[in-house]
Amino acid sequence: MKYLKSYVIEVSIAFTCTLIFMSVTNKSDISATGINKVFIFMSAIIIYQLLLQFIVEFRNFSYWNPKVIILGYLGGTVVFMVVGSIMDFIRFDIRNIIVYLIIHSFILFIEYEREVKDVKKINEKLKARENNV
Amino acid sequence: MDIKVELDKNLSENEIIVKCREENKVVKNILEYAKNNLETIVVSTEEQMYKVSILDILYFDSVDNKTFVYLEDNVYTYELKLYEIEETLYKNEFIRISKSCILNLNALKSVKRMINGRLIATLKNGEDVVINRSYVKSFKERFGV
Repeated sequence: MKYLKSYVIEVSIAFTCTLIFMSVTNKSDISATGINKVFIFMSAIIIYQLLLQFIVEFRNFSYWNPKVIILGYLGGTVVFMVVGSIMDFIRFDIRNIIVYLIIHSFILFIEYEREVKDVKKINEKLKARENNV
Repeated sequence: MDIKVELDKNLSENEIIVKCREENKVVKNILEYAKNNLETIVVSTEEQMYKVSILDILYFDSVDNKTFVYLEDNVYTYELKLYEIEETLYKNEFIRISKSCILNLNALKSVKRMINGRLIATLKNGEDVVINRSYVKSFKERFGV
């Protein structure tokens, strides 16, 4: 649950980007088939994100673990680009890959901030404890 | 809560009396802390055996099935295994931080984060010990984070 914030942010950014990609690439399709494609794409992102959360939380990894970073970037790019291009609304090109990498970097930044805050809180408590003694 | 120290030179040894209206969590913690402060364990070097107060211990470390007790200026061996120590120690003060180490939280000065999710605990004697990522969660929970 503590990763819920990142999860919600990543999914909402992915959703926003999907809409932007759709309009930029003139693939905006508001028909039932178009909406279904967006739904499938979003489901793929959510499943991928849940998998990443599962690995992070149950294996006690940090988002800054090299394995998680590689999995996050590679897995995310694959899901975002491959599923997007199969659904035929994201072009598999370098620009879109860079956009995804920026999205994931934003998540890493949020996690970094959270971890730094946790350590800061612990140090504050240790200092308070030392002063009390 | 009022804290008083009364000096009495007629006493043969130090005495702690806790007066309370009810034995709540704070009182129990004080009692446990006092008991543990008085509690000692017997540790040894190759030649001699010593009694040390468990609150003077920085951490317990296990290497090749041997348990070592680290104090500020000395290292001793101890007969119990880490899991046995974990069962008997004062749980509010000691915490497992890796498969081979139990840390005294009173000896902890600060923590730093590492890039791979581990934490580095700096002790009061300047020594660094690693908090493994499997134990980071319980470590943070101990501090209410």
